Amino acid sequence: MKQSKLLNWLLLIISVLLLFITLQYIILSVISVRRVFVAANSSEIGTQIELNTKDSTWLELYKQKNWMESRLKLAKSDSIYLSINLQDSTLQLELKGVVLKTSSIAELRHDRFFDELTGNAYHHYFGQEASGVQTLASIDKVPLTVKKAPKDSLEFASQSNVIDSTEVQEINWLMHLDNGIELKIKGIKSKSSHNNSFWRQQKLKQIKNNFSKTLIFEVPEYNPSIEIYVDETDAKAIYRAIPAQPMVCIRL
Amino acid sequence: MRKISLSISCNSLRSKKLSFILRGLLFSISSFLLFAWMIWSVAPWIKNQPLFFKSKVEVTSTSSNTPDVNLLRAENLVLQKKLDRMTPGGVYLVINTSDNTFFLYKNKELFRKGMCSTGSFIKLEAANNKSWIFETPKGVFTIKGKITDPVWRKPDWAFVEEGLPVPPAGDPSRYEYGVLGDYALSLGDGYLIHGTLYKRFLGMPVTHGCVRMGDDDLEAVYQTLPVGAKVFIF
Repeated sequence: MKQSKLLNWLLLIISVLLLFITLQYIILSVISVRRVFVAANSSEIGTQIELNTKDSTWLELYKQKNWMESRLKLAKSDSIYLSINLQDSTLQLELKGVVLKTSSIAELRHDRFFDELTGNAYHHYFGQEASGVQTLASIDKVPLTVKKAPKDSLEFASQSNVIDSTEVQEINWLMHLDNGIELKIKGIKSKSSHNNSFWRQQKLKQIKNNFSKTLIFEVPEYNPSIEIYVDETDAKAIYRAIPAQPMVCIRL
Repeated sequence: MRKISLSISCNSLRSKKLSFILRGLLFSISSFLLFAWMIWSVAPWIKNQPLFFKSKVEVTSTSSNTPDVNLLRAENLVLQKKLDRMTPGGVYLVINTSDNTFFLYKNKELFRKGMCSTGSFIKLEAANNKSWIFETPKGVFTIKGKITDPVWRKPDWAFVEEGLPVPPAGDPSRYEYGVLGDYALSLGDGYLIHGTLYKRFLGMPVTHGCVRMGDDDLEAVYQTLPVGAKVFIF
C-alpha cells in the first residue's frame, strides 16, 4: 500500500513538472517573439520614414519602391538572385536585372508577426536586400555522380549507360536570411504529403534547441518565417540555380 | 476453507495492484501525450498570436518625413524604367539546366522555347588521379562565334570515358565529323550550343557541359542570335 502511495506521488510530481516545463516553454517562446518584435520596431535606419498605414495607395507605392530599389542594387552584382513579390504572388530568379524564371506562388503563409510591423520594422525586414546565410534542402545542390573511367573499351561496353528517368521528388528548402527571416520554399506536392520528413526534422531540431534553452531559463531564438508553395520543378530549378549564399529581396 | 479465502484475498490484492499500475501507466502516457501536443502544436500557435507578443509594447514612431503619393508614383516610374532597360532589347537566350529547356527572346517577348540537353553532373575519375566534372556553367555569356558544319575535336576525357588510349594532339582520331549537327554557337572556354545525334535524350542532363538542341531549334537559335548576343544560363 505504501508503495502505491509513493507511486501516486511520483506520478503527480512528474505531471506537475511536465506542466511547469510546458508553461515555461510557452512563456519563454512568447517572450522571444516579443523581444524580436520590440527590437525590430526600435531598429535605427538611415532615413526615418513613418509608414502611412492609413493610406493603402501610399503604402503599396512605398513597398513597391523599396522592392524595385533592392532589385536595382542586386542587378549590379554578377550572381543570380531571388526577388519575391508576395503581393503579386511571384518568385523570380534574376540575373543582371533580367528575369530568368518566374514561378507563381500557389500558396503563401507567413507569421502574424509580419502583419504587425511598423515603419522601422518594415525597413528592417524588407527595406533592403538580404543575404542567405544558410540553406538546408531535401535534395542535393549539385547532383554529382562519380563514375570511374573504364580500363578498356570492353569494360566501357559492359558499363550501364542508361540514364535515369526524371525522378519526381519532394522538393523542400529552407533558407535563413541575415535579417532573421526564415524562408521556407515548399514544393506543392509536399502540401498533400503526410510523410514529409524534411519539415518534421526541422521542427524537431528547432524544438530541441528551444527546449534546451528554456530548461536553463534562457529565451530561445525566434525567426519569423515565410512559407511559399511553388511548383516542384520550379522549386528544384531555383534551388539549384542560386548560389550558396544568395541575395534575396522580398516585397510584402 | 481458510486456504480458499486466503487465495481469494491474494487474488483481489493482485488485481488491485494490476489495476493501479495500469491506471498509473495510462496517466503517465496521457500526460506525456498532452505535453508533446502542447509543445508541438499549442506553443507555436500561442506565439503566433499578436495578442501575446504585442501586448503593452509601445511602438515609438519617429519624426516623419513621409513623401507624398505623387512623388512616390514618379519615383516608381523612374525605377521601373531603369529595371526595364536592363533586359536586352534585341535577342537573348535563357537556358534552364535543371529542366533542360531553353527560351529564346526577341524584343523582350518569348519567341521560341523548347527542350535541350545540358551537363550530366557526372564526375569522371581516371586512374591517374585526373578527373572531369561534366557541368554546364551558369551565369551570363555572350555568343563568341558562329560555325556551320562544326567538327568535334575530341578532348582527352572523350577517350578516357570510353576506356581508349589518349592519342597525341592533332591525331586524326581526335576529329569527328557530323556529330554536332549543322550549326554551333560558341560561348567561350570550349562550350558550345550545338546539335545532336541523340535526339531521344533531349530534355535530359546528358552532355559533357555543352548545350545540345534539336535540329529545328538549333537552326532557329542560329539564325536569330548574332555574335555578341547574351545567353543566360541557370
